[in-house]
Amino acid sequence: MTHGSPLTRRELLAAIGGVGLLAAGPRVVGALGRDPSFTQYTYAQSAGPDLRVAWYERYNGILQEESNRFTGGDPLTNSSDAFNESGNDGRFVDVTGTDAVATGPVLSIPNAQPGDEGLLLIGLRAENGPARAWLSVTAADFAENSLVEPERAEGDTDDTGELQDYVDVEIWYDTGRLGVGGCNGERDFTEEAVVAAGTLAEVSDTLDGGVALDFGLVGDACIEAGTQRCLALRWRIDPAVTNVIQSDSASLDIAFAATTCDDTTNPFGGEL
Amino acid sequence: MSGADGLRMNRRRLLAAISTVGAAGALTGRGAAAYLTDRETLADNRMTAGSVTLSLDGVDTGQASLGFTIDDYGFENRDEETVCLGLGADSNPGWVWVRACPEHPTLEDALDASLTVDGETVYSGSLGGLLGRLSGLDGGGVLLTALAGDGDPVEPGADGETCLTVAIWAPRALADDPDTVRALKAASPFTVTIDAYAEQSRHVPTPRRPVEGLNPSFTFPACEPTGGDEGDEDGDGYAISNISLCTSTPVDSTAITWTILDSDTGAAVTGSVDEPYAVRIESAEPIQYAVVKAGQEFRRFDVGDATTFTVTSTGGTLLDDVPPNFSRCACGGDGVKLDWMDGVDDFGAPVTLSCDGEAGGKPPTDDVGESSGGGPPDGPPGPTVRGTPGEGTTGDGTTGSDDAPETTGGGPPNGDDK
Repeated sequence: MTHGSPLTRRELLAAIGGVGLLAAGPRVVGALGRDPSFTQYTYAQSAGPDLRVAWYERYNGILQEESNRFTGGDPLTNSSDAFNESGNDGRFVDVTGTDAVATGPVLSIPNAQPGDEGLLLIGLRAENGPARAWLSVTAADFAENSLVEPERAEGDTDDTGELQDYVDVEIWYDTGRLGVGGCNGERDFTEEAVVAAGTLAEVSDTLDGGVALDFGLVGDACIEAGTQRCLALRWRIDPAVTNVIQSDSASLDIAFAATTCDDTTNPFGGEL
Repeated sequence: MSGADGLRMNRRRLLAAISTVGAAGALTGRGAAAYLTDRETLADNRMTAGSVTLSLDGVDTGQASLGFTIDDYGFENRDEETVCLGLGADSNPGWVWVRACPEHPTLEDALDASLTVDGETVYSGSLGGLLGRLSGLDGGGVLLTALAGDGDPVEPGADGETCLTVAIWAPRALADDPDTVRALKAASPFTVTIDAYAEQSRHVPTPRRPVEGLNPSFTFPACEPTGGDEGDEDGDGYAISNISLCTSTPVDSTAITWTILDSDTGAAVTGSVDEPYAVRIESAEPIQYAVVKAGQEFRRFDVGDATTFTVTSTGGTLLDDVPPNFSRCACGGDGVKLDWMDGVDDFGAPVTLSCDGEAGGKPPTDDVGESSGGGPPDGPPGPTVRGTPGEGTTGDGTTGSDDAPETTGGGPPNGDDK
């Protein structure tokens, strides 16, 4: 061991051992890269993928929120230029872990009505090294929230909400055409790669266990280091939906995980 | 610092740590758990559907019944009822439609009524006219906010509430109309039922009239009675609209006379008659049988060559399987027909039927009878035109313009209440 190299065999083993132990507790894996005890070892940082996110949310055509407000940048717009600029300016953020910005709910629709629609654009950035991104969507807490008279008149008498069966959701890779015009929330006819589509309940069933995202244009699923990709989620309540949904509610978690590119193990535990 | 701790570890302990990784991986079935991952969760997202709920005098219901009792003649003896309609405090803004149907058209036309909306009298005329206006003529009702306003969507809560006051009274002229007064007493207390329907206004820029073809989400059930003839629920059934007198030989139509009878007492009615329920016929020549049309029903009276007899709206033999246009030629052979004339409140001059010996039901070869008679060609002789807000003093623009059906943009949103 020379003085010039800080790495000894012991240290290396210690690092591996630490990773392994922490990995046994999946909830804290994401925190590892930021663990102060490793900050002096650059090799430990570069070993772990660092996923950052940005988002843009629209409800009935009106901007609800966007993530640049947390970093003081110009508001994100629904364009790949805006997302790219934001990413290159370091405005993508962590929303989970010790460095996370306090976002609150990204999607908060307290008074949905038939005919409503919304869009959530999520930018995913591989901060340090290339990363394979994974998505999990979990809908839960299907609540009836008291039965109003119109619901009873429709024959809705139970205490479980029905909203999740009447919200149509579509998630697709908003990559644009050959990489141009992505992140606009409009599903171009060339953007055929849909991650999932169906009712909120169906999409949750499909994606609850996690799925690998493949943004690659030519078979490369990974997000290259220092670049970002957009995933679009569009929801809509059909105008013909009946009174059974009145005052019903549902919650929704949208989780992303990043693994190294050669890791094909679903971090959400589901099948590929 | 853990880095310093690591330096103190010996190799055996480190190996033990590594083997722990393998064991943990094996336990979870995920041998690759040692890979680094990062996770970002957009959590606590929530979607809650809004609601549209009606409030009728504070109750979430779609119907209110107003009961009226009239004890004496004159405006000062009117009975007044008020109902306040709006949307619940937790509701979304919406279009609110209200509707009331004519139920006793004859009686309702005889009564006077006014409608006051939040203190402003918007209608004064016959009750029949008021109900006609509130029914929207097509049964779709009227926009609550168009009764005395601009027809905007209703805001939820007490601020958006609209109070309707209906006053009903018996005009003094009714004192000369014992038949109607009798029917009125039988129908008392008088009920006016107001149906309400609310529909979200978000995504519904133009209110959608709740009638077939205009509102895919909801339509009010049709107003009854819906036919031309008037139902009368106090026991007399429908009034007589025409009488055919059938003979074996041509009969002189000028030799027929008739007398309207009180259907209860059988006595001749003096004064004007709104609707005939019993009629005594006198003919110079013997009559074989008579066919009476009352409502949509035909009744045959076999009178056996009598020259004086009485027909009623409920007697005789009910005829089944009556062909269309039967009353145009209800006799098998020759005959004459009397048509009730609403504007005149009497039968028109008898017209000769010539059915060419054909069975009843065939249209006459000579239609002169109908045209010269001046009556409607068939069926309902157009009872008093109900639902015509001609008596209204405040104009008819409100219902005419504001609830005019228009094309609706987009689909049929259905956050509604009724």
